[in-house]
Amino acid sequence: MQIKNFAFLVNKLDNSHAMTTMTHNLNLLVLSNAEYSPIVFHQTSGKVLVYPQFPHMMLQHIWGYEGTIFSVDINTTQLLLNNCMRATRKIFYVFDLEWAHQGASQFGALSHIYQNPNIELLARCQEHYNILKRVWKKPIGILEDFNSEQLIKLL
Amino acid sequence: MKLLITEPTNNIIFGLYKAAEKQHDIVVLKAGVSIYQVLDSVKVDYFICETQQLTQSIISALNEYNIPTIVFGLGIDFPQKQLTVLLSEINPIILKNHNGAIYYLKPAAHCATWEETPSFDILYVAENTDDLPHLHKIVKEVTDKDYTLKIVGPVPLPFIEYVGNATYDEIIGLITVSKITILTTPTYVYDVAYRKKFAITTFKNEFFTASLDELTHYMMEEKHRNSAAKKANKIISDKDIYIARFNEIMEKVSCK
Repeated sequence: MQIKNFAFLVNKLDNSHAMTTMTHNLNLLVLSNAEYSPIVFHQTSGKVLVYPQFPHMMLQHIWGYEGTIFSVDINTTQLLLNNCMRATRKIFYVFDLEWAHQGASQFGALSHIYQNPNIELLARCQEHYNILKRVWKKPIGILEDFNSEQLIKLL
Repeated sequence: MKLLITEPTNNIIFGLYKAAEKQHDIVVLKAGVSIYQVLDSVKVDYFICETQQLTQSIISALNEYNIPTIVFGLGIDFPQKQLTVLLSEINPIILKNHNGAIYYLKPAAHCATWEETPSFDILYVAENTDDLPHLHKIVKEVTDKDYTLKIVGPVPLPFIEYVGNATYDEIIGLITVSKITILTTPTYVYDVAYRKKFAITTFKNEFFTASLDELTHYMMEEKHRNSAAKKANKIISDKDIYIARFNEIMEKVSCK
């Protein structure tokens, strides 16, 4: 059996909606299937509602990580692009349509993230999928709130 | 030739500076750097700046070193050789006491280079919030028909398709990879025509006549789009690019 490595790169591992659903779904995955080995890399950590059943570590350990890496926002995608030399796939899971509520932003900086040829976009729902396709580029698929079954199909 | 220039503050002057860069040795006078420090270390043939960038120390230095000057906009009269570049006609009464030569700069196409981005259907260049009524209509039409749209501009607009403010170079790049560019001001109309691309404009101009009501028609009819683009490109000549405009300026200032 070949172990499938993948990682999530997040800002803060805490009790926010996104992080709780991520932890819950990754727990489901590792407890039901030994084939998958997820790791969460975070910049800071806070209080968690669901205890992680998988490894989680500080961001500085990501540099040599080999496997698929998911980022969850513009900031972590920037880190993913600049720091993860050995990542086999770089996927930006667009959990929020950040550019829409950023106010005055620079097209060049946004385009570098959303249209980067080294980054694959992953939408959160069908509506987001359509928006991302219309404004930036076609996402590779849909992952509803870190759903573990959908996640398996992407790996 | 060695040209000393101040940092450009608007797109037209930026276009000229880019053109100058292709043919001459450029030294940029950055904000906060003393002009005396630059002139002591480099021999400069011409100084180029905008009126609002002229400080007392720059004027004194130019007079002292007797450097021919090209100024964008009406300002101070220099005792040395001077050419004033104006972007539009000015009442002759105002110019009555002006000593230097005057050059009226006509619009031109940019010679910028850009990073290639994926192609898409419609680019809307929104330069102010007056565009909102047009935009609501377009966004609805585009969403219904599943076209890809990007809205760029300096003022944040309440649409998911608004992707931020783009630089002149980036806008030229986006014009090049889009099927239709929608313009509400003349800033980029020469650029679209020069690059054999098609535009829908909300103002009168010599290049494009299509209106916003014809957006769907031109999206469907590639042939009509291309023939309108070719027609616009025939109107524009090789002299309507900033490199030619810059050469005219240099000719005029050196003849005087």
